[in-house]
Amino acid sequence: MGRTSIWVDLLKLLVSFALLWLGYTYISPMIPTGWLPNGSWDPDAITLSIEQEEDLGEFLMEIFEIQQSEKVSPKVDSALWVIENRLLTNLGPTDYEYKFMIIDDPMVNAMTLPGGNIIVYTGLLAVSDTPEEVAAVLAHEIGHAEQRHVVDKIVAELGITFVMAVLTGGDPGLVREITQAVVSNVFSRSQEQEADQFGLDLLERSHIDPHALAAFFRKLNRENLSYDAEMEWLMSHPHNNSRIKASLAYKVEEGFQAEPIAIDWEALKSSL
Amino acid sequence: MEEMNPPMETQINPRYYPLPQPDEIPEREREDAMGGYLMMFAAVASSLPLPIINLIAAIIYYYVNRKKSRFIHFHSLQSLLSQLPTTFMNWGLLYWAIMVWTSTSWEFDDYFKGYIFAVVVANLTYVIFSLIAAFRAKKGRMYYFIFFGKLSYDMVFSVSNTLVYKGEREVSSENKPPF
Repeated sequence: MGRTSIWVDLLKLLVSFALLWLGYTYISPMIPTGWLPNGSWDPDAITLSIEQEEDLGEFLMEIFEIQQSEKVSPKVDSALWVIENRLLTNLGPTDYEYKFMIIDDPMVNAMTLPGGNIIVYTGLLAVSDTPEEVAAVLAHEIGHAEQRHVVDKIVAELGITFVMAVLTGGDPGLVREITQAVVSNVFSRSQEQEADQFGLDLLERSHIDPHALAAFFRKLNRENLSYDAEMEWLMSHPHNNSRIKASLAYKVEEGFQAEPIAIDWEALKSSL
Repeated sequence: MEEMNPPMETQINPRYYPLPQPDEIPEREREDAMGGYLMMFAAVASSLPLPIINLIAAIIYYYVNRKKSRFIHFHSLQSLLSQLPTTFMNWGLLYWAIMVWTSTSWEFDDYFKGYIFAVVVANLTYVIFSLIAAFRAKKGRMYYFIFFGKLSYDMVFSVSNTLVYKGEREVSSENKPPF
């Protein structure tokens, strides 16, 4: 007792503060919260942490990788890398380490998985006339990832408890359901508009003509591709042309100059 | 967090002055002792989001009132000392928030979230126990915060404290014992 107890008390205080700080720092990522990537907090957005989302994304990527029967040629891989590199170098600060995977499948499709994982089907490359059109679709998908649409949708559809069960257990039944939820990729009208807007801004920052997105949509209209099945992922409201109009109406800043993506596109398509 | 009464041995410890009991403490002293805690709350409210005025106000209050009595000295010192860590933590939080806002190399990461959590808990704890201490002081009671309570007691009631208090001036008479 005596003066020694004063310094023992000080030690207790310092340890308590350190435990509070570090305890919360390391435990909070395991707790579903409403923190959004931009630092704001939305109580309605109780969702997975970035770390949990990345774990879920990696888990799902492995499933898609296992299901992939044939590897795409390195030429296709490197072409996709050129496009994604152009976009990611102009993306700015982000919580995700983006990973792209290309799947050899004629389906015209691309999808965003949780944690900044994006899957592109070769069918999308085959139907695109320019690498800029593919870039436009990828920018749109990055928009979904940045706005956390995918993880919010999964949590809303399946519930946070379900997702946590997948993360901790990986029961085959649960995994199947969550994979289906990801593949369906049907977003709300406002989410599609947000992703479009993000994509258009990103394209402009990347010195890619933002009208490439509208060009891609219009071609899908013109060629009468099956929206309801194949393009549902991109065209949640296929009979609503407002998104095409919005893309066409997008005004680039004065002095904007598009820089072509240096890929021999015809050669690439012939190799698919 | 708190210890309601000092250990018995400190009350008869020759290294410390005896503690004043509630029936010996005038109402005015009790109010001044309570003021050390309550005045700081007003200062905190006025200084947001720059946590500096509360500290200046506490220092001024402490130096103006400390010589009135040991009881007031103890409570105003405890109030001053106990707000130092929260003030520094709040400064740290403000600096960190500005850096996250203005610099791209500072991120809104889990360490920052953890720090916000710890600072909020520290501030709440401080506010709750300061309120309790204020009401105790009004009743003429001692109230000891962890660490700050013991430290303040040691600084105020130790016989090595040579500060001359208003009420004790008469005791230090000119007549001295022969040995």
